[in-house]
Amino acid sequence: MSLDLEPDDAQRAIHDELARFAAERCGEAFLKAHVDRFAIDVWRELAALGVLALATPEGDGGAAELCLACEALGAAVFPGPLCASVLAAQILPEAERREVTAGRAIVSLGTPPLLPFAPVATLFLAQDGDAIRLATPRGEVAPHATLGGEPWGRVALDLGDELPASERAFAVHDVALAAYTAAAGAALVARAAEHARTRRQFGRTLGEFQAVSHPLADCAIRCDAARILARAAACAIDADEPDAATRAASARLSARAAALEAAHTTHQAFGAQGIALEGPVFHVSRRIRQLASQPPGDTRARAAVLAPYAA
Amino acid sequence: MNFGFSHGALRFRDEVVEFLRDWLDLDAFFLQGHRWPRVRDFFRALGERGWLSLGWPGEPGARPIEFEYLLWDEIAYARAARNPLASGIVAKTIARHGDDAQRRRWLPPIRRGELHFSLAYSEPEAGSDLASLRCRATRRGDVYVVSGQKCWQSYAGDMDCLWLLCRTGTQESRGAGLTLLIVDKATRGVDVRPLPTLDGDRLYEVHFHDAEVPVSQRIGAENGAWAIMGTALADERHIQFPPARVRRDLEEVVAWATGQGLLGDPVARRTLSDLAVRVEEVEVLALRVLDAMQRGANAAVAAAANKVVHTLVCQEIARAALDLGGPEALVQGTRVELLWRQSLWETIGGGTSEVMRGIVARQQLGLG
Repeated sequence: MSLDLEPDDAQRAIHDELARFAAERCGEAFLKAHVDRFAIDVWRELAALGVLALATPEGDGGAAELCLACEALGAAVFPGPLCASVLAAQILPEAERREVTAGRAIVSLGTPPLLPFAPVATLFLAQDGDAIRLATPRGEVAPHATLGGEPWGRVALDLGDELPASERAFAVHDVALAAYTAAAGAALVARAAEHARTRRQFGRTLGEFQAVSHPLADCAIRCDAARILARAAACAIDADEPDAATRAASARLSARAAALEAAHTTHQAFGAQGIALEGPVFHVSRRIRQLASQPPGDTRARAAVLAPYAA
Repeated sequence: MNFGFSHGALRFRDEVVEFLRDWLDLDAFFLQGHRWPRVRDFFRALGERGWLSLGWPGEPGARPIEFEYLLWDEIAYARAARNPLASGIVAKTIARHGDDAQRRRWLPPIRRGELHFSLAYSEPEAGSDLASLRCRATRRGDVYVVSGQKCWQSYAGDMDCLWLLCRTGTQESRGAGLTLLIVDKATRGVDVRPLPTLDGDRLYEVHFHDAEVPVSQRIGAENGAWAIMGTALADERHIQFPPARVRRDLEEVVAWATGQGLLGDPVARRTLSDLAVRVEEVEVLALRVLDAMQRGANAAVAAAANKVVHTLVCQEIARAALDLGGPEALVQGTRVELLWRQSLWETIGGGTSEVMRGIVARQQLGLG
C-alpha cells in the first residue's frame, strides 16, 4: 500500500453527511441565536448519527472516521462539548461511555471551579494534574457567559476515582480537536477569500492587493497542513503506530496555531464588517479562541512533540 | 488514507540509509562549493547504483516517484548533498524533449554522475520575472551567438555545462521568445565569475561575449522553452525541498541547546516544541506534493505551499537557536551560526516566498 492522502468513499460519506446535518440544523443564524445556550435536541441528534461513538468499541468507524466527522463539524462550528465527550468516551467504563455516546450524558471536563458546560452537564470529569477523575458537583452551579458563547459555570467538585486515561485516549481527543479547529479556521479563510474576490476598493478587488491575499494564502496553507496532520495522526492511531500520540499532539498544536492565525487575519480582511457582533467572523473566531484555551491544556502535547528530539 | 510508503520503497530506503553510512562525513548539503571533488565522487557512486536516473521518463530502470523522494530525503537528512541539476531538470527535459542524438550524447554521462550542470536563468534585471530576460542568442548558420549576462548561478564554478535560458524572440514576446541551450562552460566567450555569499559559499555570474553554441545543443524548438520549463519544474517538485533537511536542522539545534544547558528553560522548551510542530507541518506538506504527483494531478499549489513553509521553518529554526543561545551561538563556523546565514537564501532561491504565496492566492483562493 502506498501513500494516499485522500479519504476513501466511506470516510467522505461520513464527512458529507455531517456537513449536511450541520448546515440544516445549526447554520449561522442558529449559532448566532443560541449564544450562551446549549441546544440539547441538536446534540442528541448528533449523537444519534453515531459520531460520539466513533473510535470506541461500539463505533461504526475508527479515528480516521472521527477525524473526517470532526472536519465537517468544525467547518460549521457545530456547538457543544464535542472534544470533551470524545475524550470521555475513551476513558469511561462501558455503561457511562454508552450514556455519553448516546447523548444522554452531557460532559463537563475541566479544572474546578470554572467548568465548560457546567450548567447543563450531567457528568463531570476533573483534570487533576495529569490525571482525570470522575467528580461530583458540590452545591449549585453559578453560570457564566464566556467569550466562546458556551454556557460555562463555577462550581466546586468532589473528586472521585482516577480514570485510566491512556496515551491513545488523549491522541483520539487531540485528533478530534485538531480536525475541528483546522476546519473552522479553513472555513473562515474561505469566507474571507470570497469577500476579497468580490469587495472592491480603489477600483479593484481586495484580493488584488498582496497585503490582503498573501496573509490569507499563509492561513490557507497552515490550515491545510493542520488538517493533513490530523488525518495522519488518525491513521497512526488506527494502525496502532508507536508515534500516534506525538502525531496527534502535533496536529492539535498545529491546528490551534493555524486557526488562531486564520481568526485574526480574517477579522482584519473583512475590515469593519470583521468586528461587527453579527458579522461574518465573530461566531467562528470566538469558538476557535475558546477551544484554544480550554482544558485539557497543551502541556501534555508540548512534551509529546519535543520528546523525539530530546531522546 | 495511508501516510506510509510501499514495502518496496521502504526496502529501498533501508538500502539508501546503508549506502549513506560511507558518506556521513561528506556534509556537503551546505557549502557544496568547498567540497566539490568529493561531491562528484558521491554522485558517481549514486550513478553506479542507477539512482540518478530513478525517475527519468522512459528510463528502463525507472521506479515510482516515491523512490526518488525517499532517496533525496535520506540524502538530505545525512547532509550529504543536494539533488544535482544534471540528473534532475536537465536529464528529464532531455529525455522528454531532446532528440535521439541529444539523448545519446548527454544522458549516459549524466546517468553515471560524471557530467554536471548549472542553471543559467536569472539575470540582473530578470529575477522573479524571468520572462523579461535579455541574454540573447542569435542564429548564424549552425550556431547561436550568445551575448548577455546571467547572475546568481549556483555552483557554476564547478559545473561542466550551463543550462541556458536565452532570448531568441523579440523582447516583447516575453516567455514566447525564449530558447534552451546547453553551453559547454569551456566555450570561448563564456566567462564565469564568483559572487561570494554570506554563508561562506559562492554564487556565480556568467558573462557571454559572442559565445558560439552549436544549434545541435538546443533542447526543444526555438522559442519553445517556456512550456518545456513548466514540465521540467513539475517533474522535480517532489524532491526539491526534502523535509528531512528541516528535521535534521531542528535535531541539531535541540542537541546544541541541550549542550548549552538551555533545555531546562521553559521559554526554550516552548519555542522548540513550536518548531517541532512546524517540522511536522513541513513533512505533511511535502507528502501532499508527492501524493498529488502520484495521482497525476497538478501539484503547483501544493508545491508552492510546501516551498513557503519549508523555507520559512528553516529560518525559524535557525533564528530560534540564536535567540535562545546568546553569545555562544554567534561563534563563526558553528552549525547554528551557519544555519542562520544559509537559511536566508532559502526563501529567495528557487522562487521567492512572495511568488509562491501569489500562486496559492491565485490558484487556491482565486485572489489577484
